[in-house]
Amino acid sequence: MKTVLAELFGYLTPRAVVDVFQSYDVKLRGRHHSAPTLTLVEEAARGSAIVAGVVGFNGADVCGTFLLATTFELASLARPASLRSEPLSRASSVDWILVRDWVGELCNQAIGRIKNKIHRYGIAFEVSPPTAFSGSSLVFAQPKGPAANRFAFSAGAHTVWFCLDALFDAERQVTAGTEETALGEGNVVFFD
Amino acid sequence: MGKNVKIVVVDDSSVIRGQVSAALIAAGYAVIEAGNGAEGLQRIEENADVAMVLSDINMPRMTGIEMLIALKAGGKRAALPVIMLTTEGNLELMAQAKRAGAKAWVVKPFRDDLLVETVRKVAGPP
Repeated sequence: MKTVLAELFGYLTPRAVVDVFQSYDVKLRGRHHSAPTLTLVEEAARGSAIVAGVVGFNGADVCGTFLLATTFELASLARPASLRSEPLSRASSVDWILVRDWVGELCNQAIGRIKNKIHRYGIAFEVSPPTAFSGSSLVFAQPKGPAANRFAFSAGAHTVWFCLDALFDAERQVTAGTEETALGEGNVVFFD
Repeated sequence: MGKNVKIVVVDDSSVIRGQVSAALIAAGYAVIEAGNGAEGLQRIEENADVAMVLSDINMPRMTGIEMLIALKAGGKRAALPVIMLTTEGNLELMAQAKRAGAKAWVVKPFRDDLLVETVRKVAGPP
């Protein structure tokens, strides 16, 4: 089955975000298309502090950025289970460093899932190391790509917002190969 | 503690390093952390008793693959076993790591018990 590249990214991106949070026991619900500023201003108005991470990606067929933003509290909840028993505090600068670090890693894992799944369609790209930032009134620039994926999910009282802003040939069609070209998340392979 | 099998954990995420370290320490291993490939090489150089390296790939300054290649380039620690721990699942990249001398590949996110079991198979018991 042939699929337009834009549709493929549109299909894979929200699922990757949901799956990454699910793997850390946070269930995301109620996806809706959303402009970032509106969502984050609403969060900030409720007293939330916002943490955002971004990674760049670049390949022959596609390039762009993937940005993920959420609250300090939800990012804390979405940490690995073994670390969750130690609560984090917004009053601690060390905890802010940990939360920013973790949101960058969540970005990295989300784009990694997209990369692994899209590789089967013959599309490859390199990903930059993530960077992350935080604040109470973050405003993001409008996406450059014509087919940017911008969605918000709810998780309890908190929001996860993401934007995959990619430049590619929106009409280019791709076909899934018959063989797996990437290993799935959580798998282990021994080489000897 | 000094007799425990010592593992260098290389990842630019301090939270991932914390997760890996907590799992390995609970299993009885000793852990040394590094934030990128260059730091990883430095920690290996500084600690002659390191038994294994567990490394991410996509990191600033020096990637995990670059670190692996540098480690295996003929230095005195070239035989040190290395496990890659990464979001990357690309089979071509896995083949590159295998050719460069990696012992195993784990795709993030990972289960702590499976990671410890993988380390146990490669580095031996703690």
